[in-house]
Amino acid sequence: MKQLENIITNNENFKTLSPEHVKELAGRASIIDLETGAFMFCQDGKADHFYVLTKGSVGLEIHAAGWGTVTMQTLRSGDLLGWSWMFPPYRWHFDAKTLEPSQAIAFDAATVRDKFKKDSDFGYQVMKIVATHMMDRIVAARLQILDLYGKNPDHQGYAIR
Amino acid sequence: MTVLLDDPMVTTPWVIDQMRRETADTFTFILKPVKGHGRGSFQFEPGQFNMLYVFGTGEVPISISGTQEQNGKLEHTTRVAGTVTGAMGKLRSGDVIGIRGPFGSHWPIENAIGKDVIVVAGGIGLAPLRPVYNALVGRRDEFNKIVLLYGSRTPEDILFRSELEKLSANLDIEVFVTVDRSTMGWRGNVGVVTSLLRNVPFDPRNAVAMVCGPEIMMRFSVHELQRRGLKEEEIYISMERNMKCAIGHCGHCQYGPEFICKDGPVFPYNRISNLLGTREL
Amino acid sequence: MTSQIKSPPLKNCPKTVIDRAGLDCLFDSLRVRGFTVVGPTVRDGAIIYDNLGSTNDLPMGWTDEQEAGSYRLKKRSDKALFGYTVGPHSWKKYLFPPRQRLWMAKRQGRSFSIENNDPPENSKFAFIGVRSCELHAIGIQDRVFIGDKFIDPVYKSRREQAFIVAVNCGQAGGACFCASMNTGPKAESGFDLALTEILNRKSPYFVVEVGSAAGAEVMGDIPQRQLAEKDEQAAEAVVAGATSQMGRAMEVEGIRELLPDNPDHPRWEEVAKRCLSCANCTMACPTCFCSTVEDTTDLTGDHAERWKRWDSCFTMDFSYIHGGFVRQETKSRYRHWITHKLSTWHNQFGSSGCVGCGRCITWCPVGIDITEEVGAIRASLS
Repeated sequence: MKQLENIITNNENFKTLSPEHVKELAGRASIIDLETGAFMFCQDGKADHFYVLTKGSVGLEIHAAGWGTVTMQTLRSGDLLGWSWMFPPYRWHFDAKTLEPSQAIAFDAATVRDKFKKDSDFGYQVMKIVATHMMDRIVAARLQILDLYGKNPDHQGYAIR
Repeated sequence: MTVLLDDPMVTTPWVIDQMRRETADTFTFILKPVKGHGRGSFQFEPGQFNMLYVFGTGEVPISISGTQEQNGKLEHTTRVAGTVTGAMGKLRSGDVIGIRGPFGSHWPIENAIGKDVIVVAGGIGLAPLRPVYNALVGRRDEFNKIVLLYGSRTPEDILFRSELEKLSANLDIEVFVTVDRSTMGWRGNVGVVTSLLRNVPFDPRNAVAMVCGPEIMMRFSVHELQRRGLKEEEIYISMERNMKCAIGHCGHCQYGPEFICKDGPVFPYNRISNLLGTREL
Repeated sequence: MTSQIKSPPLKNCPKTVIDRAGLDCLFDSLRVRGFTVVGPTVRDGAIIYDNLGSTNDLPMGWTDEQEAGSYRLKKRSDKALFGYTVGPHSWKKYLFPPRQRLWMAKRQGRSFSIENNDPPENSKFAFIGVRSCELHAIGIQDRVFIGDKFIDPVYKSRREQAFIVAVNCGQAGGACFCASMNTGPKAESGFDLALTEILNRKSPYFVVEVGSAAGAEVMGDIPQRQLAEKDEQAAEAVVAGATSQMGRAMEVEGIRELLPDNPDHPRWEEVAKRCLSCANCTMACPTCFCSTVEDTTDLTGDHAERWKRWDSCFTMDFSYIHGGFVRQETKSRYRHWITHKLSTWHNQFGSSGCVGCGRCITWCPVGIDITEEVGAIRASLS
């Protein structure tokens, strides 16, 4: 318990939290270790945790019959995974599969949600952290959509580089 | 009829010694002077560019991708993007092209001495930074951490792949390669190059960043670097505009008060930060 | 503004007086020295610059009436030779030719060799009737083409050889605003000779100021008489008359910031509704220096040429980079032109790019007025 508090306190993501809020989170957290190729979560599985990667890296993938597996983004130490746990039906949209031996702090979704309801300041402070990651992920996705290094369909002319 | 050697608009013939295909749409010329032409040694700084002329077709600005010590040879990497680069792509070793240059400002290697160096490249933007990372590695002792971040469209579009693999195996420079879109068999990072910046190890109080790629990629990279606490004046980017003369006479490459050809292409971010937000400047 | 490439200007320019016959003699003397004498002449309803055979080719007895989008020639009641302001041409067409071959190349197997242009013929010009604003314009282009690291050899050679006979303006046109740009109407420096035309009823004559050693040398051939005090007074009155007639004014206070600081001002949209993007202003402007290059080959494909020609920031192609055009909208192009001319020119070349000649106002087909556009932006902010 004390050890988890230390880990959370020292994690860059949580540096804005008060000691009380860290304590609340630590009471709802555990450390998990994963081998290469392990699924942290699977698409359509129950979103009962969210995670902060502390070691290793995870590929965010989607798989469909006839389509195969597409990796959309690689997440690494420091990244926060998961927001399906916040909204019904609490089901994961994607797969998260480790690319190397990895470690994460896993937070219990149901009890964190429960705490949000009772303590809106705690909810606001934690949501700010989650929202930062959501923003980064959306910006990254938009840049991917732009296909910046691809050929512009109106392409003529020349490039300096 | 005599050639005015001091006319900055007159091109000098160089012969293609080697033509190396890099990816499906990029290639590298290794050029050597044609006997009886040229001026002995060709001095340039990393980040500078030359105007490359294809006989009868036209001239385009291409940055120098080779290192400074190459026995008088000159290296350019470019992507087929239009008429002139298209014609260049069809040339073979033994063909002759025209060279004018070098022109423009250069990457601040001297300013990076004693600091962490973050090199961020997107797409063909790796080519003008190639002389930088080669120079940094060649003078490894003078710099602190060296980090190279490179974003490519797909694994097949990765430039200088074997060279990057070799660099990556060297423990004294950290290389992170990411692709926007993964394809079969790619086990590396997926995601835009800007998202790598978040967790890359460097000391923002004593670091310099050099960023080259599409304008949007550079803007987002600068934001991330600023978020990490790096000062504006320690972030350098390389701009691109239409260029006809490269000597500040034709007026085409103006960007606000700057001429990209002679004040740039490499600028400290704080010098042009107030221009980047204006549309159609 | 001083030409740094000619013999140093003479201190306290010596003054003298010549008559019409003296002017004839000056033309002859310049021709004998190998100059192609060029200057104002009437053609197609306008006063343009072209080769002059004699002083008879000058627009004697003509004047012009200029307003935004309007230019008309009118007969004068006297026989003044320089009784008008400036027309659509400027001297840049001689110093910075509209089309110019940069070089030729001949294919040799898989290689090629470069051959330089033929030595330019007739490029030793004597300019007759250069106005003060135009002297400033030449000085501004000097800084662009021969004032920095890279030198344009054609410009340099033509500029060094040019002999400049300035004329002090005796009247200002409706589009003129040189007084507010501090570029006229009196020619202060940068000339070899400067004339002030004194229109006395019986025999018009010229007060001549000698501005260089070359000017003094040429004057050695010319019959002249000593300057009297009344001549000097008459010359001063001529220039004072022009100053008082100035048709327009540009408020330049704070202009270096005014335009770049307001890139999203609604006035840009407004002017774009009128602007045709026709490029007339840039062609008529005596300081606009933009150019492009063209590559050609003959039918065999063995002979290639590179040509330089005037270009304009009002064309779409001008801002082309792979992927598209930077300045797609007219408002961006007008904003670029005027901001460069009046503001960023200072950053680049240490002065304004505008000399107040008014050509862009007169020759704009829809009468857009550079002074009015600046005024509108300024007024909206105060």
